[in-house]
Amino acid sequence: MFNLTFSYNLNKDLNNYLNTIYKFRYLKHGRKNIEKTVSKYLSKQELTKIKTSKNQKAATLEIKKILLKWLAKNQDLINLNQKSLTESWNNRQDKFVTFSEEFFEKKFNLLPATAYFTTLPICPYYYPDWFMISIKEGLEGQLHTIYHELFHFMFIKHYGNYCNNKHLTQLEFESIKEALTVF
Amino acid sequence: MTPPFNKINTLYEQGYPQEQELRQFMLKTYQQNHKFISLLNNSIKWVKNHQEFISNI
Repeated sequence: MFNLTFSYNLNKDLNNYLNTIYKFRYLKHGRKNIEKTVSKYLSKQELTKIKTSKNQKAATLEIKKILLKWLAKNQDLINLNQKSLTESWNNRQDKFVTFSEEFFEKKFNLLPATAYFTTLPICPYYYPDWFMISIKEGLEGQLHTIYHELFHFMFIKHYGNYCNNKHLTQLEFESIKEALTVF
Repeated sequence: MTPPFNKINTLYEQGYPQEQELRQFMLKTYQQNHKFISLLNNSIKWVKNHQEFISNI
């Protein structure tokens, strides 16, 4: 039985800010306004402070201040999101697992993983250990993020080596992985 | 839950803009043959022949 845990980790959220707001370091996949989209929940003042930080260390301090302020007001939302997602994921997991196994024609034998909440609307992953879910999204959107990221995990686990043996470049692999993931 | 490639007309099913052409190709391929490995092999051939779609992702 696959085990997915929901949690919040300040350092992981902070790193997401460094990789998106301070300097956008993810693949854009043709998303033209992605840098504007990911900053939509920050005030103009917060955004300026992060973007004009003299170095990553200074940016880290600014982001930490913003996140601690948010956490002081919204710890209850993290707890509520954990509860609601755990319940809804448990209700839908079996259907998703069956569906994934039929599509990939492989067992859904992923290692236990953690879904960390982020306060940004962009959700990176680190296979096979964790991925992020935006706490700003509604429950339906959060479930779609789970489906999306676990589809990546299944593809990487069962067909990553196969693609490697076919001499796919990293970008070619990324394109196929994203195009396959319909959630 | 919508099966992959059953339809691609909602926000989530559209995916990223850069992969739209490849996704359309996958849709047609999967409709013809519901075998994943066949879909993957054809997709690999597609990306090797369409470098313009993946050169700046």
